Amino acid sequence: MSFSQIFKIGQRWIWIPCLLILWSLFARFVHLGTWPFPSPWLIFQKWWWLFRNGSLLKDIGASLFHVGYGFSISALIAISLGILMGWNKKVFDYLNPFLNLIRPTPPAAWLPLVVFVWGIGLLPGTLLVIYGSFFPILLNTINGVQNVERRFVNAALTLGLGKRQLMWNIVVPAAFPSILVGLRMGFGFAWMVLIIAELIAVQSGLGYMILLSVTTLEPESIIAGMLTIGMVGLGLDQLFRLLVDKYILKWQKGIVI
Amino acid sequence: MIRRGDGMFKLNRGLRTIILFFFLWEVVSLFGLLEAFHIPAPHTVFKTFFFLLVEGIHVGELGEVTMFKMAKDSLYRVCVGFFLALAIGFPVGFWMGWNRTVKAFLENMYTALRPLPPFAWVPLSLFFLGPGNLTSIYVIWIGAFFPISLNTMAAIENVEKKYIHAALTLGLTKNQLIREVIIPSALPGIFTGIRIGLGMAWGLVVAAEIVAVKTGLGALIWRADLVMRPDIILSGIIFIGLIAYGLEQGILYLQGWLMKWQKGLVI
Amino acid sequence: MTLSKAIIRVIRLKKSFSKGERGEPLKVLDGIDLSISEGEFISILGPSGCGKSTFLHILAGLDKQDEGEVYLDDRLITGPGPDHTMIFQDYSLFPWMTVKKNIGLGLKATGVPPEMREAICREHIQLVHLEGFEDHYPHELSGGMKQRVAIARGFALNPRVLFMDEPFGALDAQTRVALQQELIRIFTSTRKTIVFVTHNVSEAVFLSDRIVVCTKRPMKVKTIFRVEIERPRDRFGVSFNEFCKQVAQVLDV
Repeated sequence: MSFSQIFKIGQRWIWIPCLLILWSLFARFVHLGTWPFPSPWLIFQKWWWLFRNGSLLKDIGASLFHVGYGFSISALIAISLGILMGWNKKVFDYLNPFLNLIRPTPPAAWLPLVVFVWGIGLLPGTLLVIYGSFFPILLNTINGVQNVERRFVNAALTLGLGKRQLMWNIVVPAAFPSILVGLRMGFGFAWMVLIIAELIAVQSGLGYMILLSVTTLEPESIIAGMLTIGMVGLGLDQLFRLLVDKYILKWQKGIVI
Repeated sequence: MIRRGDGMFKLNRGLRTIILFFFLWEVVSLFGLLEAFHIPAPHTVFKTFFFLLVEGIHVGELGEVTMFKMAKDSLYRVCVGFFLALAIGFPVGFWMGWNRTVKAFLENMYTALRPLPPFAWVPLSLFFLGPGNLTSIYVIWIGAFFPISLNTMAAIENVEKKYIHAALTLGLTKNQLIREVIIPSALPGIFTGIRIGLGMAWGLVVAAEIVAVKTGLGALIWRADLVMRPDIILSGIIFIGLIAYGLEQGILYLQGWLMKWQKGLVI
Repeated sequence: MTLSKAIIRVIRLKKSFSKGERGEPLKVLDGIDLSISEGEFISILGPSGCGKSTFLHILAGLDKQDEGEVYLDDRLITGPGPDHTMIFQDYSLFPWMTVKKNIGLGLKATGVPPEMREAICREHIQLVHLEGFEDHYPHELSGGMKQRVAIARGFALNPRVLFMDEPFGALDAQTRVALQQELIRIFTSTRKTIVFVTHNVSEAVFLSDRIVVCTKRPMKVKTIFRVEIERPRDRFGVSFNEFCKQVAQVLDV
């Protein structure tokens, strides 16, 4: 391996040792308040301990369940509605302004209301995740359906396809890349909103765990938990990307998402 | 071909849906069907909304509050956090889009840190920075930083080479190139980042105020929950949504004003 | 001299676009009358931008005229459909379907049972010499191959008339010539009525029974040539080139 190749690879990963060194120095010499900032080593130890005794896996499982549940429901509703609204101008005109009124409101704002009505637990968390991921999926689906190239529609019409066949054979497949983009974006939001929900209204999962660690005065656990949240989020996002690449690559070489 | 009145006709449909929604809500609550959910009728909510705006209502620990007083606190935090994110995020994003080596150094760190939700920083923040403005500003900053820097980076990267070549052929220096060609070209993308970042910032401040702070709109609606006033919660939500809408429109307007030359082009 | 009945009749076709900031309507078709006989290969030849594509789209039912009528077998054409299908310049193959699925789509839509679909698809893949590529996706094919799939897709419907909108325009010269020969071969064996739009004189002379030369915008029928040279036509022959010269002289540039 030539030097330039090593340099190229090194470039990409050098931030890890840099970060660890800076962090260790930070932990040793900087004091925020009365508690020392945990060093990387301590955090890794704590992380490993949590992993070994199963509580980390339990929390990961709980979070995955919350997010999966909410996201699936949201995707189902958003895609169906999105196809309908993208396809049928009337429905679009009726619903779009109303949805546009609700859309800017941040998910966190709905939290007190949801908690007020349903209390603390799984339901408010799921509802929030549904709300958080709904709009990206909906908007991208509508966009995908509305932007199906006219030439495909023309070609299909000239081949004798009826309206229903047109929708399922042409419009939905043509809109699929956009829908996938929306799903990937929506999932990112779902994960974000999940953490918010777990920190406030749900009594299980990774978010709850790191909040708990504040009260039990365990900053190592907090950071270990944060790392896990980041890793799981990253893993799932990469999964989505693989899915997108695999499906799109099959028939649409060269399209950049 | 646009028929006269087409736009008005469309507005009618959407408006009808909205009116229908409020009408149904009012009717259902009048029949007492919403009692089980403890959701108040629209007219109650509007009355409370009006009072919160004009006179102020006593909300538990917060004392007498008006909507504007609370909003001011929230907006203050957003401003500080957002401008911090802009001040750091824009240069970093620019640099990454401009210089391939820098991008190589930082790119993987970005990929690793981006999926960490900004709100996940709250417990750590609470622990070391304590509850209060610092925590919320920090969370806002982190939340807005990524959209701003990533979108700026993408916008700079995607400036069409042909414009750069044309400018260099005309003899522009590097600084002139950046000022006259790169930045105007990248402006739409940069604004997208700003818009998303601001949206995140606003959403995060509300959430942060629920957990970590004692004032602000988020704190207001959370307190309202504790003192069992759903009408205040809903009023607060409406106001929060209005501000969110206003912020978004404000950025779009700013963008349109700055980019008068792009009228008619698809953004 | 063909004595077949007129399969398509175009009567006083007019169309304008209401374009421009000042709202002046742009006249595209200025009263076209045309009669097309069954089994003939007729080309619409004209300079670029003259409106021949718009004309063809109206015939195929994909666009609406402002005035005039189009009849197919004495029925008014009001919309697109498989009995008067069109082949496009950009192929418009569906990228998410294989070659076979693309060809079979129109058949599936009109309710042809699967076994018959299978047989027709196979027959038409053989017709365009694409055996072995049934399960390939469009992005894996060259431009010429894609157009052949489009041709197979159109012919598989067994339409009354086939419209072709500069189908070889996006191809390089060699592929173009090869496909012209393919098309003539298919035409002679199926004797389908084909209405072919092009701006290339030698292409029109090579392929057609009749050539309708059009003016530039607003489009009107200028001259109609009858090509009496026997097929297969020799592109390098004297009579062929003489004819091309005659046609080219009439063409507005």
